[in-house]
Amino acid sequence: MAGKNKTKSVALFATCLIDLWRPGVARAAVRLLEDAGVKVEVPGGQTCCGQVNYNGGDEKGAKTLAKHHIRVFEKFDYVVVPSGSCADMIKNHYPGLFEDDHDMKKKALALAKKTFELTVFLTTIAKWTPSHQEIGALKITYHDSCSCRRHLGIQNQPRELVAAAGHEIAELPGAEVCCGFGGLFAIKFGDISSHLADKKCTAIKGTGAKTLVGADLGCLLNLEGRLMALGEDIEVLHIAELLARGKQP
Amino acid sequence: MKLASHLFPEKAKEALHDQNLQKALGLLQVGFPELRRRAIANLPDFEALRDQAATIKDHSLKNLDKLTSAFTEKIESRGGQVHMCATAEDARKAVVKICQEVEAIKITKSKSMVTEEISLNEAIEAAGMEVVETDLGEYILQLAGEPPSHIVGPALHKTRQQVVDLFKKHHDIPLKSESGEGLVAQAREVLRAKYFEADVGITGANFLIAETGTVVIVTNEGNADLCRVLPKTHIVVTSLEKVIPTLDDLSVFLKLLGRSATGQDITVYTTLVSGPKDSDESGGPENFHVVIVDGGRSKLLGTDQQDLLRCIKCGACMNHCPVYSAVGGQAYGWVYPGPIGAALNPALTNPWEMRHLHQASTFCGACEAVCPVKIPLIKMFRFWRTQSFDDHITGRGQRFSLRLWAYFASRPRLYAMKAYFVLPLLKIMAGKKGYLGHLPFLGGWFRGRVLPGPEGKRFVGEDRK
Amino acid sequence: MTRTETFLQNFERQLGVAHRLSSLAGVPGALKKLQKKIGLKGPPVASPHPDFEGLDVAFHAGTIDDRLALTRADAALAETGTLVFASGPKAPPSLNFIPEVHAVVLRESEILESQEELWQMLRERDQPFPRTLNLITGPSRTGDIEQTLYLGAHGPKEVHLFLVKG
Repeated sequence: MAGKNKTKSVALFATCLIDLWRPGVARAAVRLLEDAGVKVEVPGGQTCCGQVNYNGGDEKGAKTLAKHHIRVFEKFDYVVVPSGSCADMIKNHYPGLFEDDHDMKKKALALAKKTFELTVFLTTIAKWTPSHQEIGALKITYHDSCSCRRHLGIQNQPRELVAAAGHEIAELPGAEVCCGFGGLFAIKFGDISSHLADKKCTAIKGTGAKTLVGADLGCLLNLEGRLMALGEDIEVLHIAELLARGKQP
Repeated sequence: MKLASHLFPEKAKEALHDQNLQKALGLLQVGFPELRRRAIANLPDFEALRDQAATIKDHSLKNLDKLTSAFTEKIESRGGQVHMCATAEDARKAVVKICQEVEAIKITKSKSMVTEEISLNEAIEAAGMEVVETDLGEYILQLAGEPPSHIVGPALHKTRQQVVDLFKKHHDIPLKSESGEGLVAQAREVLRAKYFEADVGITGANFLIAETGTVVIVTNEGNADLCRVLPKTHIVVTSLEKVIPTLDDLSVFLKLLGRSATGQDITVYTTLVSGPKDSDESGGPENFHVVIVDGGRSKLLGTDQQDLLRCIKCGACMNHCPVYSAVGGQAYGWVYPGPIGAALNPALTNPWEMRHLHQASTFCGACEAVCPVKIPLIKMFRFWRTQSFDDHITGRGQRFSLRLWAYFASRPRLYAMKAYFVLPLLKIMAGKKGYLGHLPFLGGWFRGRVLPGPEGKRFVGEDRK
Repeated sequence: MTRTETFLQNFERQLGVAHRLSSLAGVPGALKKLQKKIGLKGPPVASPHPDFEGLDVAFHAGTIDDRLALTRADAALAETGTLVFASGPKAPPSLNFIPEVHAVVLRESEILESQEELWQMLRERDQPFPRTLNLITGPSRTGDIEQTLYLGAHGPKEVHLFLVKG
């Protein structure tokens, strides 16, 4: 991205889960973007994209939060989101919330167009390749969230980045099957959710990898929560955390 | 069929611990998707066919009255009768009346989800007639007194041993072999006599064709054909959204149906019936009736839920659904399980009864990715969830939590304040072990899982460098 | 691959058994072979098709005891290995479903490419659409017992095609 894009403004939308629960992921994302030559801003007004309200049937709440974030990110050229589900919300669902508000819909479409999930932004827009990691190659297994895989068509980008960083990927059998997180579903239907997480963890253990990597923190917390309950010694990392290892803070 | 969908949470929990069921579901989750994948590999224009099918369906639904009239006219011109029934009660009455008019005593029947919807068997038996299910899966369920768990393979939740026990209990003749072959052979033997004794044969329909006044019935067993060609009277019971314009349109759907359902290029028996037998024919029924049930479907026409009427009942959605694969079909408590059930049942019955089904989804999208007619299933679930929220079907706790969240999240300073106080507290609760074993209100998470603790403060607003 | 070869490949993949005959004269012999194979004492039942005149068969619409039936297909579809039977005064559809073993006579020239060709053929015929039209692809089967495939659920367990040249 050196040179011609240096004048574009890029905002990071940390997302509520990462912002509140695992800030390290956002810090890592910033580090990666800066390594790619991007000056990253973190607008202070950002909170939650509203997906939990939208999918929970609270359309009014979703609209309120959508309007808020359309405003927060309006002035930037790019918005980078280290989460498939939040990127999906903004790109694929914000515009549809404003069918009867022409102005708002236009703004939502504009935001949708310039919003990118992290690995997509790094590979496609910033055209960045990670340097081989100083910390040494790992055997990892990769979890595709349903948001990334099905709703955004993201599969190759994270794998390209992981491979370029020198790590070995042991593919996860049944990768197309949901891990059972599903947002509120994990709480409302905890038994089913945990059952699905357990199936996924069995597959993860079967790969022999000691590190699980993914691009959606919700899925990762779900799987980490089950792995820990099982007493498994498998490290769970967001892809930003994996790629930022060994980088200067 | 009796409504038991309100019991979904309890039945789902039971299902997770049912070893036999989990074994059967394990087979299903691997089997059907792989068969479908292979079958699609030999059809390069599969995606284009999906679009075509959706378009034909939308056109047909838009012109339903005209197409249904054309269909009816053709059937009547060939000596058949069409009975339009608004409700389940109307349809039950119509079928029983036809059977009584021909003085039927014994009736054979092939699989039809619409007949489950309207509880037809109970009505026939109450009128003093015998009705035997001939689809092997439905026959097994009839013996067991159980509802179906899948729309294509209704008894897929049963193990071979369970079928052996059922046959031993209900059949007079001894079972020669307890193998799969032995069971199929005995079912064939027992049902043979029923086919020949039947006064009336009742089948479902997969499609109704306006061009030729034709009812299309597909099976792999051939049981529907034996219900059609042997008795004096053939009654088709179906629903009103199945009418399509032409034979060529049929071919588009047939290319998708077998592949999506069981991975077959075509089902073994694809039968097109267009009336009773002709006066100079020796084989076939003398009387032919088509009972078309509305059952709440017409009110979906012209609404955002109309797309649900595209459904061709292939079962692909449930075959690929992680929730269905975990709990099976009976937990859904009504005729249509899985994603199509969650999306369609509230419209055909009532949203209160079906309130759990659309909530029990992770929105993973596997269903709509494989739907041959591209029904936007997630959009449908979200529609019901929004209606539930607005109509206070969704619990007070959940509604309050979501409203509270939106309240804070739209006020960045308040949001920052709550984070400032709550996050360190949670970090302390997670302690040295770094995880939480329980939290109030979030009990569901902790079924077999812990929650890794938070870092303790927000990222947004922190001093960067 | 010729249309006939495509048809046979698909027909056999769906577990149909094909016997190629150079003319209709080969039918009696092929039929007798089948009778012997299944140990059938009396004559098989057959549809009263002109091509079956003179055969040692019983012409009626089939009874519960019939183990072997001979019928005349009207066409076949190469794309799926499917046999097509239209009901008529000389073609009771019951015979396609009653027996354990279903024997079918078809001429190679009657093989069509696809369903669409079949619909066109039926539209162009100077006859109303058949009362019962059966598209049959292989023997009857079910997967209802532990998702394992078994043949002969209710329809025929075996489908034998006598494919006549020309």
